[in-house]
Amino acid sequence: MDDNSVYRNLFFEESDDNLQKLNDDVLELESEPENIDLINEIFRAAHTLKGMSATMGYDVMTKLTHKMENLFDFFKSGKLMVTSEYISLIFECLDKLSQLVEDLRNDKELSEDQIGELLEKLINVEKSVDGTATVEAKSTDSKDKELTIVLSNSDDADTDTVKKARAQGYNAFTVAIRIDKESMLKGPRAFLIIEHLEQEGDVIYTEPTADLLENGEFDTDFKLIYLTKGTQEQVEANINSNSEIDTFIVEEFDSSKSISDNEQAETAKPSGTAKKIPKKANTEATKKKEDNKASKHQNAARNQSIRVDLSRLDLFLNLVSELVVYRNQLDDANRRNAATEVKDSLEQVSRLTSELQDLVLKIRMQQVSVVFSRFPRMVRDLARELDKNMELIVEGEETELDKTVVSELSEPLIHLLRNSADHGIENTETRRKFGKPEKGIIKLSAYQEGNQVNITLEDDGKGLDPQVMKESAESKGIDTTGMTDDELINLIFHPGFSTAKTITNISGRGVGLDAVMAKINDLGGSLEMKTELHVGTKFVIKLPLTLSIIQALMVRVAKESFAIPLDVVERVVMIQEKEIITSMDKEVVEYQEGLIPVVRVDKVLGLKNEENAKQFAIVVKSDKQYFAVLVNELIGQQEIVIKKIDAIIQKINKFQGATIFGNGSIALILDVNAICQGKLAKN
Amino acid sequence: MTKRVLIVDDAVFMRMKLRDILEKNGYEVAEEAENGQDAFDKYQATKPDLVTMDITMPEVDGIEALKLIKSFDGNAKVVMCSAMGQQGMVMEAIRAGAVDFIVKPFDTDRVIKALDKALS
Repeated sequence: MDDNSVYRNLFFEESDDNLQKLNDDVLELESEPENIDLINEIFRAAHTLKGMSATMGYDVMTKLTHKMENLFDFFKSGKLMVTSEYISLIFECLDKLSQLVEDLRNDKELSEDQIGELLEKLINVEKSVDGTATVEAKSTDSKDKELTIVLSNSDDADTDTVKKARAQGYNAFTVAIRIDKESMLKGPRAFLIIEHLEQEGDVIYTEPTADLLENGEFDTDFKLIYLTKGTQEQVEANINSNSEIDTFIVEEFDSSKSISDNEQAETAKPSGTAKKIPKKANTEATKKKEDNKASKHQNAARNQSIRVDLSRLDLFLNLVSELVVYRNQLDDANRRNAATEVKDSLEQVSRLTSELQDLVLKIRMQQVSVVFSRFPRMVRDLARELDKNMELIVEGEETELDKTVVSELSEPLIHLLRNSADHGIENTETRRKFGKPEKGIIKLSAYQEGNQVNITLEDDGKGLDPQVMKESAESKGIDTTGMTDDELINLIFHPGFSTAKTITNISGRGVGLDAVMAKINDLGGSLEMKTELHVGTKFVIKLPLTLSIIQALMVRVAKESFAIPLDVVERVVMIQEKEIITSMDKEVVEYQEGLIPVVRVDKVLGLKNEENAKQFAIVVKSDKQYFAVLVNELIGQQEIVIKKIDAIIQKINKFQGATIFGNGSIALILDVNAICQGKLAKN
Repeated sequence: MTKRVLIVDDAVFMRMKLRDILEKNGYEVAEEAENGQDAFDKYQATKPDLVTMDITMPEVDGIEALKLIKSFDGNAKVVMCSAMGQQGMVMEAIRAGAVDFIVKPFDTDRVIKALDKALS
């Protein structure tokens, strides 16, 4: 039939989005089982998913989404309470769906067997819900019945109205309509038909009542009394203009017929007073309008976006980076030659380049929530799997990082999270014994500090025991003689080291923390661990905010120029050599009523420096502590493009990279964090 | 004469599918729009015979767009595209002058029948 292959990619992208949304929302639903708006959202996403897979002709996927959707329908109608068992079942479905999508992506044929087990579970749930069976039975019943036109509840007032109307030249008809049994949204369908009729007359009575009709709470048939100046043919044409009608009958209104039936049916059903349809519809309409407003707002809040191939963005970034370099050269040349006629336009070019550069960096930025969002679900599953009581708290998920960094972040973080859940958090019994709260807390937070983003993962679990580490290391043939506790603990980063006593499904699959470390280093970041026995473990990942362009303070040390990333700079102060205080063999200087360590760049880098009388102290913040970095001269503030440097120079751990100046010369970018932390370690 | 249709939906996928259905059944797609504002602009520019209008769209939704189009051209024929569970919004759209509505996922026969009826 249709050649759907062109839609495939779109289908995959939209399916991924919807599955992620469902995962998020269902997780939220577990904590707010009563939230009807949320259930509606979920229902909508599930429905879209079903619609898309049906359109693509992926029957197996459609079947599963359909059954899953039924479950949401039960939640919606209140027939089923949201419990964590059902939530787990839904998650199973979502996982299966992701897998099906993945299979489709790999051009694998789907088979019914893949979903058989889940379908059975879902059908069992359906069976357990009272009423479903009866509802279905009822609808099959009526399919076989003939459409009849006998009214059961109209009363004398209707007959009187018809008499009066006829006196004024109106025709009165009894109309019975059967909507297609496959028609969806029966309520609006009936409403639309009645709306069309009312354009040429008045509906004075309906069966079932108007509110039941509007809510779609009828099977396929409904009846009405219609007053119009038109002829029977016109009425028939009017009804015929609607779509999705199976059959209909239009007859002259016959009061005797309905009254006799009325008496007959009176005991069976309470009488409905549906005479004033328009009025009733209006009041309900205003109510619904208000409801709609809320959901409309939600939709407006959703950002509009397009997808762009990342390689194009990379190219864009490269071009802008080059533009920045030449802009700086131009600025430089202009300053020297001071040609006034180009000065103004150059200033504009300069400004525009900066804006362009900001923009391209912003375009490439992505919130870490892209990665974080799947973790609460993961921890929930881990908790159930390990039979431990734990919760993940996520903070700062709106923190942004370069897209390339964000997308690489997921794997190492999953590894660390699994570690915390498996090895960190103790089981409830142990926690009780140590007097800890029964629920273990894993806290994942991200925040920006200077031109880097810190991501911390902290658990209140058992922490690392140096002695256990030592035994474990020795059993693996790692030599631990003369190691301090710190060194023992850091063995966790040793290749192939795993402290798990047994290999579980969750962690300890041979990939150790060394892999995590390597990954983070690849991203230009660093990984640190702080641990305390029985208190918990904290991992700190520091990542560069962007990979390419930064604001820098250019400085001179001895005869060399260096760049210091401006983001770490707190303040610059001029100090005399004599202001530096030496205590023990540490040099400190007074800053804001405290003493902060002094870092002599010339000494750190082994440069010969003769002008020490007057210097500038660049006060920088590293790991929440201030340092005074001494330089000889401030050259100025500049935007620089970070170029990668040779791996050997990088290993020295003192430079972040290099940059090319406007005049073509090269300057190294100081890795202030590494230098300051190195200084601390030495002390 | 071939009838010209303006397709409005924020999902590219749905627009493509609908275009496919229409073009295979003798309709011409005048334009595609991805939100309500876009729809209103393109309606004025292309004056199509019929509009298929998705209800939930970012910024200006389908109902707002329907109202805009109706105020610009009282005879405009707009068929709403709705998902299940949007009864309320469909009702509102009907009150605002939508000629019909079709429910997603789209079934080719149903779509074509609804459009034929709306244009007859």
